[in-house]
Amino acid sequence: MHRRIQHLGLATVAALWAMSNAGLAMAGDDRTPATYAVRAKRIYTMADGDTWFVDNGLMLVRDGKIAAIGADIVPPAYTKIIDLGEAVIAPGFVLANSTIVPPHSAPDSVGPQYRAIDAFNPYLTYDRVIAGGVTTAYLNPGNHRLVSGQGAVVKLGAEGDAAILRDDGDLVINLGERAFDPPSIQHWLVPPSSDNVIRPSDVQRPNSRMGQLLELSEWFDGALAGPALTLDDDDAIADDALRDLLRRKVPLRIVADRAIDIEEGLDFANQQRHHCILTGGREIMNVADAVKSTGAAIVLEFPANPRSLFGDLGPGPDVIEDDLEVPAVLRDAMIAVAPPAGAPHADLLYYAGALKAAGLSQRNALAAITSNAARILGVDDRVGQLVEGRDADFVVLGDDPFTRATRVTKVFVDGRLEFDGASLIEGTRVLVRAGHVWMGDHWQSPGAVYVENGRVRSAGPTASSAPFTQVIDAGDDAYVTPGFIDARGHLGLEGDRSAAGADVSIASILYNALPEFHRVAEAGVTTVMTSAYRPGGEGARIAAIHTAGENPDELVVRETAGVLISVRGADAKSVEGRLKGLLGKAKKYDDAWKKYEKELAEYQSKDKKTPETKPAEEEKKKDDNVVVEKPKEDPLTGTWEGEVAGAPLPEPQKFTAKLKLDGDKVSGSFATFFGGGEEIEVKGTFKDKHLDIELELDVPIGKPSVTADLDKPDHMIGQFKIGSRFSFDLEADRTERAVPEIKIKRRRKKKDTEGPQAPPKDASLEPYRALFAGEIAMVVEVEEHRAIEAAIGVLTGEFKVPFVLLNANEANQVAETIVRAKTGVIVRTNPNWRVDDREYVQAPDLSMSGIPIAYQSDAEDGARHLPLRAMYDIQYGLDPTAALSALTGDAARLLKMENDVGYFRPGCRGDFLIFNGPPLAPGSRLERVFVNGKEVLP
Amino acid sequence: MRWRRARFVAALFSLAIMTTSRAALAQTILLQGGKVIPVVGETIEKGDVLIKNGFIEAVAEKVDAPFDATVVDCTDKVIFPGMIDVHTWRGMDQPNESPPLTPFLNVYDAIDPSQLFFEDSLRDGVLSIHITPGDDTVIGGMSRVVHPIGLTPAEMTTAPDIALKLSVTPKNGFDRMRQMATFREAFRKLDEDMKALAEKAYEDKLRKEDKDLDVTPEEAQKRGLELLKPEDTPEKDRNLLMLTQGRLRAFVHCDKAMDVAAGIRLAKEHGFFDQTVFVLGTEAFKAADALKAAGRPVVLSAELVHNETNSLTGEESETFVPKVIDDAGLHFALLRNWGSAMGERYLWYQAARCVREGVSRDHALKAITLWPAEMVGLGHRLGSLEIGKDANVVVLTGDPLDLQSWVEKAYVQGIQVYEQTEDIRLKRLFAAPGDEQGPSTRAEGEATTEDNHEIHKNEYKDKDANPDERPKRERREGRRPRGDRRRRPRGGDPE
Repeated sequence: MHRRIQHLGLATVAALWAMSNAGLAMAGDDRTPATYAVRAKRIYTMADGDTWFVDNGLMLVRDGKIAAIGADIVPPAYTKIIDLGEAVIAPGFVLANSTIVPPHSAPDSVGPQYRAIDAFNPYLTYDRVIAGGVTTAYLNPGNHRLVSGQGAVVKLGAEGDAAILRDDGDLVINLGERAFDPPSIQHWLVPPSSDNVIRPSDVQRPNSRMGQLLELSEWFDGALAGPALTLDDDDAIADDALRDLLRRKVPLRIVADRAIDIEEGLDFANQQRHHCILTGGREIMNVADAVKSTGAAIVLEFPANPRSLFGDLGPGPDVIEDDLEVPAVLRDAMIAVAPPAGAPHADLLYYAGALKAAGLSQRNALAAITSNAARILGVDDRVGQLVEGRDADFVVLGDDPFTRATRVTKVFVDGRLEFDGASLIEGTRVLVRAGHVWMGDHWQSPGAVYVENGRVRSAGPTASSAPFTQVIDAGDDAYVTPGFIDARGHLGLEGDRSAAGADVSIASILYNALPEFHRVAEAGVTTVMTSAYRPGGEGARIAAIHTAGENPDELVVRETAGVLISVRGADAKSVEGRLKGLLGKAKKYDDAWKKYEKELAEYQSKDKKTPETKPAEEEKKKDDNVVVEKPKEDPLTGTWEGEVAGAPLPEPQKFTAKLKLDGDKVSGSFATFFGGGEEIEVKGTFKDKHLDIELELDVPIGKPSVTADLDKPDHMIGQFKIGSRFSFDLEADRTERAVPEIKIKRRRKKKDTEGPQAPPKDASLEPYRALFAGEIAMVVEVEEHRAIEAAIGVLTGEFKVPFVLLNANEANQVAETIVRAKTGVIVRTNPNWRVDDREYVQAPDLSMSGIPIAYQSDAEDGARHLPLRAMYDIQYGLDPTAALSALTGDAARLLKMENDVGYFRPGCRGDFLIFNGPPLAPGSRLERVFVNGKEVLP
Repeated sequence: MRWRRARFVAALFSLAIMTTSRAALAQTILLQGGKVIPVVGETIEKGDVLIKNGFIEAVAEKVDAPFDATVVDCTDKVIFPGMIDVHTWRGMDQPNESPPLTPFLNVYDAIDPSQLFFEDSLRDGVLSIHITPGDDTVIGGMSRVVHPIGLTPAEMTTAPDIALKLSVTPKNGFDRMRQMATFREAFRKLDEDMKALAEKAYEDKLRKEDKDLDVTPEEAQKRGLELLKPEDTPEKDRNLLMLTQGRLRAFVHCDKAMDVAAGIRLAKEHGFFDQTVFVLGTEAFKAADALKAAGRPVVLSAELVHNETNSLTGEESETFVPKVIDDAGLHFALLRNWGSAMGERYLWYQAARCVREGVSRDHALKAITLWPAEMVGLGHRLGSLEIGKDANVVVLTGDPLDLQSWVEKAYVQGIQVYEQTEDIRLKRLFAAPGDEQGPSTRAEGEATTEDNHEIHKNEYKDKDANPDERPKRERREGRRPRGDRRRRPRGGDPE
């Protein structure tokens, strides 16, 4: 009971909390100001005339209406301007046919009195439909009866009466099989009497094509002839409703798929001199000319449900073949597109695309879901176009409507934000497209890169992207490259020139958010391999850091990304000696760890197997843990057997206690339900016939204990308690006075020392384990050519570790050795120097010898000039492609960072640069820099 | 009205389960020294209520006992107006007829006075019940207000022919398009019938005067309408006609928010908006703005909390409906939730929940007394302890919003109709095991002749006994009697 009350209390608190939250959400809804302006790359106004879009336009929204729109609008002072950047704006989509309202349930074959608006629920949010960009929808009373009723047009996401655009849109007439064989009607007889006799149920038409037009004509003629006195009551209702509609000349919505029905329906509408909206139209190909001549508006139903496309047509002779082609004569007709019955309403943009594929111009295809659809529904005075005075119903698209992967990202209704795709995703999603994309080692023209949550997910000529991605279309002339890499810098050290050994993790001492970082990032250098100015004897650690980022995860690419060792100035012999000594020591350390890891893996796999394979051993172990004790005889010592009872125990539980008295100290064991019948060690006291013992068992709510009194010899009565929460009655008799043999399974804690012992950690040698595993590279600063050869000898021969040479002034003299060693050179900071009185330019020379190179700044924010340095080398003959590689792919590859930076490979960091021309070419400008998929803004 | 009271007394005698012969005969009763919560006006911490001839004669801190008054000591008790259940189909043998349009029906024909529902209501202090047809029609029949005591529907009637029941929410097998079309059909038929009648009346008049028809049929209809007398209207149309003339109230059921606008439109179009009470479903609170603009009183669903899940984000939200309606400034009435095993079956529990969720105590109390009385047009007779009103009074053991309070005595039109100490079912429920009245062999709630005998014996015994020396009864605190559920009316729940 107590617990239940607690729960109720919690539920109440939860309910209150939820309510207060709901209240907050409601209060916070009206965030969009009454007057604001939106700016976008392109606004499709769908206006009549020649201009149907505005580029870099501004749309001023005031009180839910469009106040002004154009490229040269000057908004009033203090107007909030929402800059949508790359996005595109289009009018809210208009659904020209829908099943938002389910078909009515009445049996009448001709039921013009049924009104779709009656079934519309303005209090539903319609979020899924709105998420597809639909802001206006036609409500269809049903396609199941010859005359199913009056359609209506509503705005989704609008409030109250503002939601209803038209409550009597048109009269829906369904031709063909769908309306055949309506049920017969049984009339209610209230009250039944001799005057009001039971009649057989009324059979209704049509049952075939012969009947449908006959039935229609009879009704129409009857209605137009005036109220008939002979009609019975039920028909009179329909008759009245029909007369009213015909007098008002409402459009007839002829729903027909087969050519014959289309023709007949159009003829009928023509005879009645009503405007006709042809809906469905799957065989429109065959009667295109007839349709054209009547001037009917057309609501094409897309022939397949895109969310379940694979329906078989079957072998029947009556199947309607799918035909997506719109006949040429109709391409300029008033056409709207609508989803097929049963398909979701949110895919309107997809249908518009299909319509474009079917032969319509881009303008007409877009109009089919906006302006033309609105005109067909007769609501073009309110929606369908983004022109002054219309409702501010618009959608924000990630990209141009008919490019691939364009999604609706935001939807505004009456100027209010009704759907925001960004609210559905976490993190960042960026897709960049450009005429030329440098993949790190080759050009891709055109190319695309998709970055999700800071990492590249796909890249290539085109790229997949998730919904609600920010699309950056850099243009056909633009060049996109991975962010540049400074292969050796000191960014973040803030001028600290002291030496650091390999035991110092450089990333942990870095500062961030400094102006220096930003300077470097703005120049396009997104990754710096930072290390101490002077490495210690056992080398120094290199950290790969980003030049922009908001948190450690974004800022640190790899904490230990390399080992820097300097053997500058040493001769070949000592280079060899030093490297061998160092690597030998490191190798020993590494081997010790490898051995430990292997043993540990073996031990752990063995450990898992134990239960099945070694029960006997276990048994033996158990025996080892048994303590055999033999005390003397007294009032307590012996074996006690009894029962524990009381709520919440369902029934009394037996227990056995083996106790031993020593002075007034009690020890022994206790076996009961609690603890699974196992003998549990007990300790406590026995004084004046009062027993007070505790069970040595860790229970979260407190140790179980027994307090009991010996009310007579060999009988005790008392209580068994678990913590303070539970208390049971206990009663027991001594069954044996002999000193019990107490078997207690002592629960030994598993010691940490069990299993193989880990070798002691040596922080200085830790990075070498990664080095030997091939995860990071060794950067070796070496100058003289014999020293280079010696170093290569040690690093490729005995130890086989990835490495790259730093500075390597005389690398050109041992170029072949370097090429053979499949390594490269981080070129010196000064590009050229004099050798034998001649100008020597290192980068082009090495590159020509087939040695991959990388650039270093050997400075902090000096790294900002890295691209200038590459341009300088290009000036002196370096292949521009090699220069680009040196800043991106080659640098990453040499430093074993190719899965992190330098390339557009899935998993790499989403760092990219957008140039307006070929990178590193004079006249090209770096326009935008992204690090981790986030733009680095000035 | 007095004649009815006499028959009432007879009924009380024969209804053995809860009568006290002493009280039934008393015409003047002074409830003395209790805490008086009159609903209208200030609470009197220690006051008297004088009942005379079935009406409330005086409410004051001190009322002198007239010479013939039966003085009832109410020290430490609370005197409260009888509560009102303003919308229920219970008490009838079946909530709905099957045809959609049945404005000519009357609940009178379906009330079953023997239902335990009435006994339960009495025990729970609900002394006025507005019985309406169920929700599963388009236009249901005529309702009436009854008190839960009496042998025949006529005896039970407090006021007949209160309102017509309309349901905007589709009946079973209908959808909204069909439902609304059916409404239009009903009103159109009425219109045509009336026109035809009027035309005929005018023609008859001319015929009597030996004249020929001298005007157009439209004009004849107009002139004839003035000649029509109410009794000329066929019974089939009479109620609906009264409704459109604003002479009858309408209880319009709107289960969903979307039905509210349609209901308002319907009422306005057909001239009964000013007589309309909206009966809401839980979700209908979303139309609070429309309801606020309409300003008509509403009956809230017995399920007071609305839960909803957002389809895109999956967020769940919970709304306490009466708070929203109260904030919109509307008068509302609370209903009993018969589907709940919890206290929601009691009007005071529902009111107490409202207070917990932030509705003022005054409004919560009015929502079970005065406001429902006003909704059925009986604000001048029921719903508060005011001089001149019907003496429908309950004496509670504590505050009406205290869940441990219960009804000790109940008076309908000045006659004591309930005495908790003599409630046979309660006795049996709370009897100690082994007690001769204990639930030993027979099923609970089954009153037999022996029992009745027993009661009478006790009555006579008690008559002479000092009330203070009555044997103490074993009670389990906080428990209320459970209604006998075996005898639910057929037909199921109309919702």
